[in-house]
Amino acid sequence: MSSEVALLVVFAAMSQVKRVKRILEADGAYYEIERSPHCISTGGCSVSIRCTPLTLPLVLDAAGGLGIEPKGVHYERQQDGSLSYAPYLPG
Amino acid sequence: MPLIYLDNAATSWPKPQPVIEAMTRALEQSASPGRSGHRMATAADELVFGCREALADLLGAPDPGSIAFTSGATEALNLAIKGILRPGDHAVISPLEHHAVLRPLKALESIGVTFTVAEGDRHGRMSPLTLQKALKAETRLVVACHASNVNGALQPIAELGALARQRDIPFLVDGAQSVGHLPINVDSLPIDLLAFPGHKGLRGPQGTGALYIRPGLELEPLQQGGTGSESESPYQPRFAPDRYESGTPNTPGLAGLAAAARLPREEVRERTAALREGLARIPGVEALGPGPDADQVGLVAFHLVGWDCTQACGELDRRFSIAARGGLHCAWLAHRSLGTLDRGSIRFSPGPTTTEADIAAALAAVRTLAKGRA
Repeated sequence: MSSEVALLVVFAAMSQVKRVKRILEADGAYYEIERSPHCISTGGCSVSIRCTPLTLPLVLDAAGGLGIEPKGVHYERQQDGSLSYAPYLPG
Repeated sequence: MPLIYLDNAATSWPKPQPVIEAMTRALEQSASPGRSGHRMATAADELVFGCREALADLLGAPDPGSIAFTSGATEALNLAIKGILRPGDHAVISPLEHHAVLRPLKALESIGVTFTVAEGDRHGRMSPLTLQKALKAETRLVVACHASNVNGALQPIAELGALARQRDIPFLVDGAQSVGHLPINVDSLPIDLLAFPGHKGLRGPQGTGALYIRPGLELEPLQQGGTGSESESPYQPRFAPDRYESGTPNTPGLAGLAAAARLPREEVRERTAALREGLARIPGVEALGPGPDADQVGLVAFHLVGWDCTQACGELDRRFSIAARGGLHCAWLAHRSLGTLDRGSIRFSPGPTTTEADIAAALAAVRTLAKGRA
């Protein structure tokens, strides 16, 4: 899988994402965040950090350091003009 | 006659202009934080998290997630006390505690919680020795106000917290009169829980405050409800700070509090010392508290011989346009411990905008009142 693949690391709350993003961006990097699609998390409150397979370990490390467990990692793909998501299984 | 405001221990005034501007902007430009994903909601998310970061930075807390917002120190103390204690548990408190500590504990007596008021010195300060004597096998919480709202005395929180930690008992500090006035670093001090208001020493708006909760310490929340997280679950989230923050946050208030927390901290010690020294020279004034040689926060408490304390404050307001507070200051226990329940006290608490002229005018007014009853 190429490093261009878009991954969504899914979190339960904006408060969690803000804390993780604060650590990730401490050295000037930027990570996009967005509301998790309904097909991934039905509540509408979940927020995801967008990353790549290369930067995924950084996101997971930052979250782990705060004692935050993501609700999952999904990869995003274009299919017939629309986006679809599937659980991301590294390797 | 211009107002001389000496009631900053009740609430700071005037509020700094950046606080007013931040609140106004929030009212004009932000929506509900943490819920929707549109830009006005995102702007509100930024404000709320910005406040969490500002408070965490101020207190030396590495993770802003350890800051749970409340409506003030009272709610923060209730959350800590009721979030930890269960039937059969015991707590130890200092003799200087406010009603915001005493009343929740009195209420918990109905479910079998007990508590001990540790012995204090003549200014009401609990020592590690008196704390040690009050501890029991079932003690689950130690509570101490950092600075008394009655006589300004500081308690040795580092030593008290160290003893509590040795016994693996959570240590709750009431920072109502110290946060914003004194440097406090929760990462280096043995503090597990720190309750504080936004509107006193920090000079933010009323209706704001927070509880610092040491990561790993889990409390029962005071209430359950919408948190802007895990809407797909019928249960309250287990993670902080969402676990403790049900309902739409006070975004304008938190915007103001963030602005306040980022302001340079201004000392009021010199102004307090000038007031204390001036009062000591007035015949008929009996000062309370440890005095100028001891650590004390920015308030001066005193009796005025021949005067009822609340009537004296009424006269100060009507005749001299001086705002001060008389009575028991919502601290029955502290006044009982200090032997001042029958008389209460008059409290002057200057702020960063108090001038030398204000202090001179306040001293002249007290001198006039004292002469009238001499």
